[in-house]
Amino acid sequence: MAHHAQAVGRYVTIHVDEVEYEVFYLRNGQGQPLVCQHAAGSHNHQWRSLLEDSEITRRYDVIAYDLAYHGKSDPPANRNWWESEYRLTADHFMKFVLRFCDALNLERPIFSGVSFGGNLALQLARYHADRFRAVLPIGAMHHSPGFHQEIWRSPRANPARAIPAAMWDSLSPHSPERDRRLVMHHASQGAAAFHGDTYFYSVDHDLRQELGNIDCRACPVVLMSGSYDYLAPPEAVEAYARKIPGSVFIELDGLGHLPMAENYPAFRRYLLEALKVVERKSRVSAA
Amino acid sequence: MQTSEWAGQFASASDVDPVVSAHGRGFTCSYLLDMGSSRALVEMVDGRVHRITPDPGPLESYDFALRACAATWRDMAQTVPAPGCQGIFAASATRDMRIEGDIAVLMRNLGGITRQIELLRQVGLPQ
Repeated sequence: MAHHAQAVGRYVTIHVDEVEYEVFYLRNGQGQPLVCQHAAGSHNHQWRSLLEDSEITRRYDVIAYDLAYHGKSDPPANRNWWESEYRLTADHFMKFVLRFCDALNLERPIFSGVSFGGNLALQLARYHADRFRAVLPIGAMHHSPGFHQEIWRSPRANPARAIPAAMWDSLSPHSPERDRRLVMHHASQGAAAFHGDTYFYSVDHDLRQELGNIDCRACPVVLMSGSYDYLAPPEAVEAYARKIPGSVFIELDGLGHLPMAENYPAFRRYLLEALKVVERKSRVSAA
Repeated sequence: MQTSEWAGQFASASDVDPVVSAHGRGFTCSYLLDMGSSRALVEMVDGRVHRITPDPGPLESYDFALRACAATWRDMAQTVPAPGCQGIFAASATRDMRIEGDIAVLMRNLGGITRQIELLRQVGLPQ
């Protein structure tokens, strides 16, 4: 008898600033939607274990999409995308998520993202708080300068091999090697998009002057950072979290920058804790 | 362990390592490990250690150098390193690791280099 995973993949067509995308997503569960964004240069398999976690999917409708240019979501369907440089902006990235949620008729989903997806979660909390029940940024910074570098697309550097290898250092040595190798495998598949992703990550994303304007009463923010995450170190995340009134910070002991992908069994208890925080804050808000 | 003795053990560990072997084709470069009190010049050809020169002289050339104090290397060589010491980029962000030279050469060989740095957890460090 063949074993089938519970998650099912589909495509949905969306339009963002008149650009047409056929977006691939994996989905499993019921109840409160939980929308998940992968890291730069990767795809939605980073969320594969969450999608199969029955304790969560019996209460949460888990949806992990591939951003355009990543995984099975192709570049624009109605543009000669090969004639221009891919460069992801904060505005386009946010609109992509909003149009995707519109297409699936999701009412106030929880949004979680990792690394540059976590940075996006902070942007959404700042500029579209009314659209989300909460955001869960993982390995996120309010500002991540220095990573939009030519080396990521230099033929001298062999980006398809260099980018995954560079990711390795951000992971925890406690995490299973098999899962860390999968992180690298996924990153090698999206290497062509990585440089364009870092434009958002390192250049266009800058919330240093906006942290105090994030309204956690409208959209609770629960930040998570692994103790081995040198890109979003716990002490740095905790420091900027203090500038977001009402935000909650959870340190992920023994985990790295991509915890849901590198060691889901260790990560899930923190995720459950974060979801409990959201439930509690939602009850308070409703009362 | 003297640097010359360490060089032999490091070369043996690298040449039999399954990860370096599996991805070694094209892993050709030269780099300096500057560990404060000791230094070694490693030359790789197609995934195998061609030569290791202990304490190279000032006129020796190489593609790039990895420089940090002895304490940083010692912490990186722990069986399970502490946060910030799990690799050269982590150590450059949190400790005194400096990456100098032709970065493109480092990056295109990064998988192999990263694995070799982790072999220090098995082999240990020269004194």
